[in-house]
Amino acid sequence: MRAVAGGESRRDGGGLSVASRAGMPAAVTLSGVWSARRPRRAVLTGLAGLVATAVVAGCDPFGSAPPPGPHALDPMVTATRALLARYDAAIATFAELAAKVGFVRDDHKAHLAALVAATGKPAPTNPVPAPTTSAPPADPTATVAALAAAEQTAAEEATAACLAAQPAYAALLGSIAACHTTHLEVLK
Amino acid sequence: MRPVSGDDRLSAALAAEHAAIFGYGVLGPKLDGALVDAARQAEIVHRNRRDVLMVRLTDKGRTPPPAEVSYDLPFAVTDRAAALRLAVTLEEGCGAIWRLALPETAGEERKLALDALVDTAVRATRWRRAAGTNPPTVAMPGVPN
Repeated sequence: MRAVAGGESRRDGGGLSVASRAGMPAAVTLSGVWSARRPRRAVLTGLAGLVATAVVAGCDPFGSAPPPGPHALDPMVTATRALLARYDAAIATFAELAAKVGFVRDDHKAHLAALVAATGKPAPTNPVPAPTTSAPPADPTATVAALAAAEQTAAEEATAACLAAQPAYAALLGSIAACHTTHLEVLK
Repeated sequence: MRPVSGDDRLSAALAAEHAAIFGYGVLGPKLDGALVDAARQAEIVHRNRRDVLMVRLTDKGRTPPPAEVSYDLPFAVTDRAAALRLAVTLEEGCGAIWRLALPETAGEERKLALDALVDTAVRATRWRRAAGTNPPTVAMPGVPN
């Protein structure tokens, strides 16, 4: 539906909320644009919850334990644990890096929690494989550079995973890919 | 109710891009130095995405939502700090709308949505850094706070 000028209250097909003002063209609120899909988001979130519940229940009407089979997100869980371990090691070795990369590590922790939740499986407890790179960096600057390289790889992996993902995981993987890319910005 | 389609999401993204372009026009003059160029670049990127969406939706037989004459801002943009806050708001808002397009799209269109989500996240991070916001990143770009 086309916008109607002249202060008429209206609602267009996109669900934008409109603040009408007497004698002036109607102005759309920015927050209205952002929240245009909120109700549907709530519905989608509810659906995601149902999907997660179904996965947890193993789609078993009797509610027995989830099957321990592979999940599409398992590789992302493994990669995120490895990346998190690199940050833990970096901060353990160079305490001064906590201010620069501590919040980045926290982002990865949030990613891991969200990914594990999406798999519907318990958090893995097996040891994280050590990085395949050679000797650990000798100083903080080199450490940050190595972390940035790992973020670059992680961003590419998450991007590929998002583009190939089934719809249920596309948004989660998209956010993770975007977050990795912002990390490259702050690790420069 | 008709299910939400990928084209619905792209239309919503176009509406968000229109709003962002308007917002940058307001906030740009309140910035100085290198930030003026950053705002100009951001506006160009949003304009480019708008154009891509308008062509794509038109090609698919949809009527692209037009830009509004004006948009009410969430707060008065009277100084640099408010301008930076609005810039973050614009990028976060667009990012949230683009993120919603991911599950409803595939192939080239999902790539379009993902590129936009990534770009908005990076720009939001830059604006937060310029504003001195700590931390400058969020774990889940596109998820409303």
